[in-house]
Amino acid sequence: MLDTEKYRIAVIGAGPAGRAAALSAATLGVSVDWYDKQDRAGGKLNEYHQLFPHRVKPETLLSGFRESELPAGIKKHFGIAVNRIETEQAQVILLSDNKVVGGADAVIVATGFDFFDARLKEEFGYGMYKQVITSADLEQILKTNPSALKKNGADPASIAFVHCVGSRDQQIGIGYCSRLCCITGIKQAIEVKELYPSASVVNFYIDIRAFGTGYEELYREAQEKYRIRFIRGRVSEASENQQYNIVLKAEDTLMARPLKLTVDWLVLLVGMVPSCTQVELDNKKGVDGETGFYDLADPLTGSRISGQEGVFSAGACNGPMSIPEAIASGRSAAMEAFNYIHSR
Amino acid sequence: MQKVFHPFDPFVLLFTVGFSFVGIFFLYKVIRWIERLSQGDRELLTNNLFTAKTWKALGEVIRESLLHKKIFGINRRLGYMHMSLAFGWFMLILIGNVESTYYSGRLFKPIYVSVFWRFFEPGPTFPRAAYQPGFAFWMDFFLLMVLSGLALAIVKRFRSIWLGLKKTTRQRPADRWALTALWLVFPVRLLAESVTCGANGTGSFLTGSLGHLLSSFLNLEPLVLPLWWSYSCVLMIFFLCLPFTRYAHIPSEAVLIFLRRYGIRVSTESPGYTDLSIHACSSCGVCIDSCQLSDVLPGRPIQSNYLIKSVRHHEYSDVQWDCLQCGRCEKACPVGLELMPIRQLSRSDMAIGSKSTVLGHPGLHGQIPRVLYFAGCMTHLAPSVIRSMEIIFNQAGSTWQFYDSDGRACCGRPLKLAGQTEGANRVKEQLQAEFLASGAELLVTSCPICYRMFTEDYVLPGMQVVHHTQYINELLEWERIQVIRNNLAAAYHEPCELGRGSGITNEPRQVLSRVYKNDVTPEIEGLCCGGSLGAPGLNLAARRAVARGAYDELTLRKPDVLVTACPLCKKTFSRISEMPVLDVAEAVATSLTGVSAPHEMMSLIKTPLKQSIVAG
Amino acid sequence: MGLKKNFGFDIHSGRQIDLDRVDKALADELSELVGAWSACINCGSCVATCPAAQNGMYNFRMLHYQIRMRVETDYDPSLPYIMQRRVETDNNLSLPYISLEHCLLCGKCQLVCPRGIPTRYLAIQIMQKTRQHAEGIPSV
Repeated sequence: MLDTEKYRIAVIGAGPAGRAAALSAATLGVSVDWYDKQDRAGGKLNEYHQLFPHRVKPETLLSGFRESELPAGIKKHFGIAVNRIETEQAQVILLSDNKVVGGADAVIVATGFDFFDARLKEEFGYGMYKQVITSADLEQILKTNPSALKKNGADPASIAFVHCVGSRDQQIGIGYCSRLCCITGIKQAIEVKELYPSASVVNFYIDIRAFGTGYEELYREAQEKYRIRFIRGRVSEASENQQYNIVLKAEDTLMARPLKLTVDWLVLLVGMVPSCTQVELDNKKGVDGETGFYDLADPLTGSRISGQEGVFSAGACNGPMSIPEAIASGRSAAMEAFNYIHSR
Repeated sequence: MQKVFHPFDPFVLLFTVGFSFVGIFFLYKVIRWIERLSQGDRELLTNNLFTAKTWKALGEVIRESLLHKKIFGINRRLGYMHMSLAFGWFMLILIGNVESTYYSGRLFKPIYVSVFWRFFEPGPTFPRAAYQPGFAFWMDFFLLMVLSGLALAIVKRFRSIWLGLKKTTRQRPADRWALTALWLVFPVRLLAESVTCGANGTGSFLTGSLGHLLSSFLNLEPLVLPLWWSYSCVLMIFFLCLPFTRYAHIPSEAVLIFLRRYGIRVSTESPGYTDLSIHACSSCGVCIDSCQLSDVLPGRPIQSNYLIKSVRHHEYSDVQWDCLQCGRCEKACPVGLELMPIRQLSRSDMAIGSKSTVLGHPGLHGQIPRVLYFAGCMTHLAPSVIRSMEIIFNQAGSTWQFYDSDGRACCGRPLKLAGQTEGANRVKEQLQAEFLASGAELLVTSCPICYRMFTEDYVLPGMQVVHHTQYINELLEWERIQVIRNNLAAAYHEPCELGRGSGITNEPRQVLSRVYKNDVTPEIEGLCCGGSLGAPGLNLAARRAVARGAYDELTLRKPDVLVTACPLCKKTFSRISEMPVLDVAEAVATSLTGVSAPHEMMSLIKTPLKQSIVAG
Repeated sequence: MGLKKNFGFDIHSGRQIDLDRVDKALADELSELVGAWSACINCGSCVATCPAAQNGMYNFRMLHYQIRMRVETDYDPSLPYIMQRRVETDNNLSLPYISLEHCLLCGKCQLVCPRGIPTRYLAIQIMQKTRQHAEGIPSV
């Protein structure tokens, strides 16, 4: 019998990836120290209204995060933000604001992502025009107070979604695609249309990246069932008119003509960027210079961070990924961390 | 004089040929330059020739061409190097002429006599010898000065940073020939004179001592003639090369100073003056040093002296389009060359006529506004500036109208900067007419590029043109708006087109001093943000590097905010800044007292960004 | 092929782009000069922000895309490629060529391009290359 109880694995992050990693590690019999900067598990799952592509509520996943469901080997350390890792003689030391808060034989980093700060694309007027919000803002509104979308008590007449805000954009130095904003835009367009069937909903896109299982089907549903208009053309700027509505400038590239549209709400589909509370690694290696996400030693097959020993990562801190991908990534990292300790 | 005086030796012919060549060539050049001036410029020349301006020009020639005062201001060693070579050589020629005139008793004699005087008269053999030691001393003194400068020049080739320049200029083959010849001239002269003095027991502290030393172990007599032949030869080579190299600046710079004093400037109508300017560039390298791109794109021949060389040799290169046209080189140039207009002219040769027009506007409606606001096309991509101006105009109670609210207008300057003068004029004619038709008295713009175009090229009688920083400054001084002073430190980035380009340097700082407690702007010549469209081909990575360099300098004294007055600068710095980047208008709008509705914009600047963009 | 009967429309060789036959010399030259041009994804940001696009039928994106596709139909051989005048029709979809003469060179397109293409430089180079084309100057 393996003396695996003596193995210690630390998991930083209690979102989908972190939870999957913690549970899988515990199943293998190791002791797990589970950290999260917030007081509760779930990460951004707590903020979502519906999950694509089947539009289930996140509560179905979150219910599994309750204390009573956790296996015995897991010790929770919530409310602690681990921001640095040091390795010393095959031991990993966890620090929060230069104070040691724990140690382990291996650590799995699952700090997730942040949404792109749309104020950096100032031509859209986020933060300045009241009627401009991000997809994250909209998700909150749909979850907690959908009638906030009304204007002066009346249903909104028109809503526009802009894809690729903070992704695929050299002007702000983010060259990658955030993968999931397109399907988010399709999902939210449907949700808004369901709430306000008389509203005109328009999505401005460059490409529709509906790669996942069920994604393309949802796109079709958005077009056919909900009559959401998809216009191929990127919005260059927005301004506010006298009625505080948003006036957009875009090109309909398929018509090859510039286009103007006035809407009640402009929703910016913001991309995913590395979390601001990302963990700083020993000797600062392991972070991609261009994107800021973690750099894996063997991205095709492994979870170990390059340049580090005993440090593994899972989930969106490696790059934009969906919830099922993050969960699979967490389980895989746990397995790898286990094997690493075992083979030492 | 009793002595028959016919100094001659065949070696003097080499020098004479070279010198005559330079003389004739240069005379021809001057005639051509003046010929190719416009009628107006030629009148400026003839009208001012016999006025005090000529004396002033002479003074400037002494101050700058000989003493190189401006270069001393850049770096003392560099200044000394240039001064010692120029002034030292000048004094050698002057004193040499005085000495040879005094002792030969002839004012008019063949040109080579004073040059090779030490050969013809190593020591005085006739009366008035009393002054000889004096002359010899001063000749040696200035020769030593030149040699010390030469030593510095050699050091500069290998370790330019020791003279305050990060980089030296790269030379063409003809320049290298001339440089080698020039560097040989004075050591060879030293040897020739020393050997002659040594053989005759004359000379002063330098030539005499060296000659004495050499005579102690060498037989000097047979060395005399070969050395003077060598001296004459290197002088000849130098002179033959001079008109085709950077050394043409020696005579050209003097002529330039005179014509410039008379009021002549670089323009398309006077290609002679442009050609003169190009010859007056000494390739000193100060422009390379002041250029931010020399660090970001090292080795790429973008800078002004490379441009001038390529224009002189009729070469076209796409590299010259990488210039940001920020004007730092023009500010730093010791010769005061009009580097910006020269670059502009070189671009004009390459463009075809554009027929750009701006669609007429639906017309301004309602009452005649007193103030017409022209945001500028790029300002629409930084809408917080427009929003701020709206708040300020309304708070001040101005009767104003937003001319380009639909973002459809352009002032025409980008066309002009790309050499498309015809297109620029078309746009100008149209907008000019519309501005005048509006009836407004004051044109306020948020873009320094537009400001320059309106003030330099547009003709708007009865209409005053101001940049919004000037307008806001006035509003504050007349207390039409009032601001609170934030307990923060601010650094001001001066936009190239506003500061160096338009001379508006004080008003933005005055406004800022009312809005922020501490001004921690560094006291350096304004830097370029790197966003300039004057360099259309420059890639994003290079621009980001320029922005990063400028940002690091601007924030040395740890400001809380970075303030600027140009939409392009604002966008450029916003991408890399870890602190809020505000336009002056935004700083004022978010600090106004007495405004009832809270500004949405407050959240825009008060909440720090959760991330900064990873450099890429 | 003299047609004696007036059918009321002109016979063209068809609107199909024959990609087998297109002459890409100008496009290749421009790609050499402005490498990032090949990265254009036709997102339309440039045209969206362009002041001149609003004023007339000028569409910079279509213009440079046409250079890439070197559309052969409706070609007036007496004019250089890029100076082909637009055709006035009711159905303003049938415009094979767009001229650069309306570009204000303001540079807003370059500020919004997500691929970081120096579009203003591209415009200047197109102007230059086609001028050389028109004056018979070899473009290399």
